[in-house]
Amino acid sequence: MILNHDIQSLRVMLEKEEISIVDLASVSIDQCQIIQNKYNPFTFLRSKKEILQEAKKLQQHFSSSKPLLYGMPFALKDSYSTKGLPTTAGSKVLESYIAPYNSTVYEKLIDKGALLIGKTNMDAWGHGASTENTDFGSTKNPYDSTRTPGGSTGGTAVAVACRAVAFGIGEDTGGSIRNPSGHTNITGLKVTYGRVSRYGCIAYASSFDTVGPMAKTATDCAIVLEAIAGIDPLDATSSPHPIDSYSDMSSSIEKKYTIGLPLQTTTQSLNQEVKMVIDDVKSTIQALGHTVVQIDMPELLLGLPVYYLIGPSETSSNLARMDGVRFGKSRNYFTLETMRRIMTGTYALSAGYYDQYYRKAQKVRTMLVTAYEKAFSQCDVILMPISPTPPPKLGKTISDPVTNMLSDIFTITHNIVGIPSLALPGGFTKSDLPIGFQLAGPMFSEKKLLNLGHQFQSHTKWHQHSPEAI
Amino acid sequence: MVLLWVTIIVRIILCIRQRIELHYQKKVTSMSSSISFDTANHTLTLAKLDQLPELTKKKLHQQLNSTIEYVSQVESVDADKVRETHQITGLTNISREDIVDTKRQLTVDEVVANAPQSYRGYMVVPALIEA
Repeated sequence: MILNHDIQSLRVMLEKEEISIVDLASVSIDQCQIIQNKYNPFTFLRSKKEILQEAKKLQQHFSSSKPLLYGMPFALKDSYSTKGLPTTAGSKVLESYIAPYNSTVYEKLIDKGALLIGKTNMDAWGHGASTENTDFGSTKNPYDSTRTPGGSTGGTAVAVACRAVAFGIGEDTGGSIRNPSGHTNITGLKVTYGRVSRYGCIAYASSFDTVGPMAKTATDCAIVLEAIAGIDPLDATSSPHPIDSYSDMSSSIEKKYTIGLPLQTTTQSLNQEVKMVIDDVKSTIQALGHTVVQIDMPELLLGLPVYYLIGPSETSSNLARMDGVRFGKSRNYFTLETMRRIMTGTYALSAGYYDQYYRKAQKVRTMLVTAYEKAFSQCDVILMPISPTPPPKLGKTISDPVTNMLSDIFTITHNIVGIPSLALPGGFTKSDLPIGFQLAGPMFSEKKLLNLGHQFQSHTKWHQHSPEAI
Repeated sequence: MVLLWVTIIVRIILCIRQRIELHYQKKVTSMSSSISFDTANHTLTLAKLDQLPELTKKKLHQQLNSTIEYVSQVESVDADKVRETHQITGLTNISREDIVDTKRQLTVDEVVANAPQSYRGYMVVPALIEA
């Protein structure tokens, strides 16, 4: 299967003319159609004719020097504006909405020669961790179609896992890139807040939202990050921090890091098989010459209440614009999950409760920022599980609000404090379900995390597994 | 002598204020552990989600109660002396040149293209004032 190769190998094959970008696009769209029938990862697939015509145009346009992502087929979470194409955010409210402008991330990717194959299914507005809270039918996990692929970026994760695209783009507000990456055995990066422009991304919680790559390997994520990172005058929160040469892994071998393992992540209600994977990862990291130390972060346990006060508060404000007057359908089309989040946020922000809930959560947020600063004075990188369980059965997460919240217990604090975190494949359960882990670092430490991820993937083969059912 | 009386009166006022605040805090806390159906309904009105079937409203009321009960954990955290964090970028007063970018301009047709109802280039909005 051609899309089993990583981006670097595909580029070499294209340069040597072993394959053309038209062939590559053709393979990608065929594979996307096959997996769409099985797992429903897309809300919209572009027509094969249109994609092949675009590939031919690209071939003519870039006959001499080729851009970074020349001819790379990709899947985009349906939360990003794409001019002239549907943009639903997984909700019936925007079922017939056609975006009149492009998001910055999409613009950057097509400027670098990448080819959009389709827009992917997601929990509506990013509200969920299972890609079940969607109005376009649940997405299923290709490792076991009775289970969820995680969420909210479940569609992109499945497209990458099934080798139907070269890479994908997700959006992470509380774990929406990392959670599905872990549940589908792919690599996904939640960037530092502001590292990638949010312009044109349908907002969930504006102070947590981040745009990031999902791919087969850490190196692929690094290549995509190079293409999409940087300041954007259209997003006042995008950062002027210099862009690193993320894909340069040459210095990664010599560097030895101190990796912190928070006591609280292993003592919480962690599934035994997830715990075993974390123990194995710890051993592999030590075998690579790094030091693993236990750190104490009791504040981590405050992450869920803080997230589920600030996130819904911001989403209640952001979704106020969905009034069914200028675009979209009426608010009655929101799902129960989304209505509850809007309701929680409205309650937390209303007179008499603002100080008690929203303001208090913002204060505890400061305590979490301080806790991470202290942790990074004791170690370079923090190792954590992604999800407390392997991929859950369909229907289990969506039926209970508290179970839904608990899926994010290990991911959300990184969004609250704004730091980057890389999700990597770490192993499998006895019944062949993927289990991932995450490495989090200080603000703008993406290069360090990607280098460490590359080191790990140079010594393990977990990331090379793909679902057998395809 | 006058100063002594002023001090006593100020102390009495402060004491009464403290008791009122305590009473109010208790009231709010007891309300948070169980939100009334009326409060939940009012919240739905504020969120413009009031046009829902009764059964959905009841379900949302129940779910709001369990969510608020869970997130109320923040109340027990001693954070009186901690400042709030509203954003973590460290960036302040970000602005760009006030220049018209014609490439980003939309035509009137493009602007109203997604509106459920439009009339001669205008969006038709629900009436706010009854004739």
